[in-house]
Amino acid sequence: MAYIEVNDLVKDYKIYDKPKGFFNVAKSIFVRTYHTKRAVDHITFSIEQGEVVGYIGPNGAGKSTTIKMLSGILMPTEGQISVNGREPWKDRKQNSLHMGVVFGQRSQLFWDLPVEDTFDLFRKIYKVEEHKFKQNVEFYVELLDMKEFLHQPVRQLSLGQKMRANIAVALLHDPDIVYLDEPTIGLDVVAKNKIRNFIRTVNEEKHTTVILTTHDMDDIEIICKRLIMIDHGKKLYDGTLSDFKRSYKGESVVSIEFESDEEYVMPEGTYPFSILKRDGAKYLFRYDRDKTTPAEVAYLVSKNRPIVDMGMQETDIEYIVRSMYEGKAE
Amino acid sequence: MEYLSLYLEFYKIRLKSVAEYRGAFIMISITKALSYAADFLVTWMMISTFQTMGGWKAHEVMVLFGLNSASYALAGTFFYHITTYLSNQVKDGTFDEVLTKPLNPFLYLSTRYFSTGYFGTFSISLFIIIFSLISGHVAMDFGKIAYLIVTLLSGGLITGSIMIILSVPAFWMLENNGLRAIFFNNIRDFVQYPITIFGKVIQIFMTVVLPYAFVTFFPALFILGKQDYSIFPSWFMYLSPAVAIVLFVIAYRFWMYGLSRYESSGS
Amino acid sequence: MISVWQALYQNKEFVNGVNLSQMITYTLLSSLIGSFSRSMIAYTMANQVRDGTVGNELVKPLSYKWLHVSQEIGSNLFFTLIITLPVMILMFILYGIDIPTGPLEFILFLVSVFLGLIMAWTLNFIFGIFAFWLKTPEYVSFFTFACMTLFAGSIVPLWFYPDWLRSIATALPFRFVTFEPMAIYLGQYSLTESFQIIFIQIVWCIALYAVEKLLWHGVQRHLVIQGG
Repeated sequence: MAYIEVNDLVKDYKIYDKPKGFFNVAKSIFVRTYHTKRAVDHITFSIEQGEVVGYIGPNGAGKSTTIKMLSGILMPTEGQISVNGREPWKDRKQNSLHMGVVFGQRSQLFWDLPVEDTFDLFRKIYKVEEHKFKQNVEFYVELLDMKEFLHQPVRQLSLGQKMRANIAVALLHDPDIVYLDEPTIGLDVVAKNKIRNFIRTVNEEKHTTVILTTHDMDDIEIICKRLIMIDHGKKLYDGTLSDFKRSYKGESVVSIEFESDEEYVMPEGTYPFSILKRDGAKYLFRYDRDKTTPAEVAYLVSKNRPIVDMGMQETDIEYIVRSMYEGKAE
Repeated sequence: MEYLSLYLEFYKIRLKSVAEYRGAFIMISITKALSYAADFLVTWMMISTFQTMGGWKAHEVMVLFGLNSASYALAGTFFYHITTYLSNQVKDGTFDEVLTKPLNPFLYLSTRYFSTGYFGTFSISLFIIIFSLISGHVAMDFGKIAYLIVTLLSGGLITGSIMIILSVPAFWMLENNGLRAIFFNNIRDFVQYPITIFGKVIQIFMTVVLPYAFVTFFPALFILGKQDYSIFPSWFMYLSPAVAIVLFVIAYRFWMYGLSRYESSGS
Repeated sequence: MISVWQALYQNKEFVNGVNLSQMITYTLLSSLIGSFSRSMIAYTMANQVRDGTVGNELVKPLSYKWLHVSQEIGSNLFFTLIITLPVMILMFILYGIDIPTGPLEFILFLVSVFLGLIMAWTLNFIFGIFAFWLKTPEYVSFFTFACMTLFAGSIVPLWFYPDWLRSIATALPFRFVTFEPMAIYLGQYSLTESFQIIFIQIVWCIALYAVEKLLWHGVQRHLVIQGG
């Protein structure tokens, strides 16, 4: 049996309708009407101990909801979850003893305390043995480069420093699994890389299972070997990162802005690019990276019409997921 | 209770930050004490001018006043966060963090966010009680002093239990501010006066439904040696600790039930 | 509160020249004035200083004070109409209130209430300015509360104060918000005395306004120097 088994998982939220008008407000005190929104829709997967899985999808896809169910915060509407044989929601305390969490920008640190005091507190909360604690603190402080700010109160730290401290705190008790929800959000490139390398090292040395949600493709590229992608609560992809990239490597996008906003019509003949989207004088062209370059696309386009600006469009996950979803619908 | 030392740890942390913001702590304690002292002074003068209120002398009413605000201060120290900020925490999602800890969520919240802002209120209330007892030449023996302490603790627990119960709607994404304003702030003011000055309906309500009368009125009958039992049996004056424990158990169970129905926000 | 006065007036007719039905009238009408003059402006201002949103509002081409005061008048009006007034009407029916001695007294009462409200808002704004400096909203609201309880006579009228405290309260402006208008209403003053009260209210209004302008000017300069 795998470390995590998720079987046909469903989560519905009740959304209470905002009453309009005096009469309905009065009525809503006694009877509240609501509709249900399905955030997670029959998802099944399993994850082995020691895997590093990127859990991705556009905003509102149901990523956080899944993580919340895995970490025992939410009760599933339907389906089963087993984490190391436990049902997280029912066995919340035991489950949380063996996991670590980092929820985006929500800090677990104590605002007025120096980081090292928070470490000490977490040692007590998770009943970590003294020598293991010392060993871990040393290891993490070294790897995450935290020596300089260990004695400062948390409120004086930068965003990146806080994030590093949060990740260290989540791993102090050597959890079997750690859930990282957007661990690099809002950080600069240097800080991001520090965190990425750290997660990789911890996984390699301690065999910690990692489930990571992110919007940053580089996070996935550097850290993850496996990818699960969801949208609208449904699983769209589950497999290795290399397979995923292979199926999407071709697609890239370049944006070109023309001088005037007349409609641009593709000239006769076959080209290695096509119009993706138009927004006034600004066009997005989809091109095949194996056959052409953005510069060539711009050159070919500018032959018929003068252009004023061009730019590379990052192929972020939002875009891939969207194009994948659209592809599926066709 | 194996975790007791851990929860004590959270207190230590709070006290540490008090030490850090010493100036602000002192200022807030003084201003809070001032606002209670003003209320106390005005009420005292009012009753003194009239000599008695429903058979109670000014110093006797002021003991009720002190018991009421001292209980509120004790309850607020431990449960203010739960009753005021739980609905915010549920709404903005920070409550989720509580559930990822291998701890009892109730104990964790009340200890991690215990409030140091009631120190001034508690001190002035204690001063009011002692001052009123001395100025009224109330004979105190060891038993009465012990019962006064028990009363303060029970009063804190009763007031706190009502705070806890009023926080539960937060789990269902309901606003509890209105409820709190009515059932907590407004109704509690009644018991700073002898409940016998109100109609029978209010007396019964304050005894049976929202048992604030056990915070002040009934125990004060014993401490002050008064026999103003109204329609209630005289042994009610010993009942405060029992009421406190029963009510707290109910409040805790209800809170845990509310928690079991908690649905985190979608994001 | 009415039960409280009833209990106090047990077996008594007049205490310090005031009887029970006057006291009931006082309690009911003063809580009506109270719900009108309620103000969180000091608290709001201090919070805005702390989280920095005050800067956004100061750049708006509106008077900062009137922005907040008009918001509060609106919400107080709503609160008074929806909650306080129905309760009051019920109370009037249950207990009855005294009618003012004459139409002129009633007009003087209304004028005095109006001036009292202006004073209340100005005072609250002045407390709010102190909040700017202290940067801590908590004290300011407790301190305002203490001043109002002690010197405004909104809960216990000044008639029942011992001399020493009454003389302090007389020297301060707070009593003009509820106590003095109510005293006019209840016919505690002769017409000349009532006119005197209103005259003093006007003087206070001007004085407070001047103090407010002075302090506000200081705050603005302070904010400019500190950059918000």
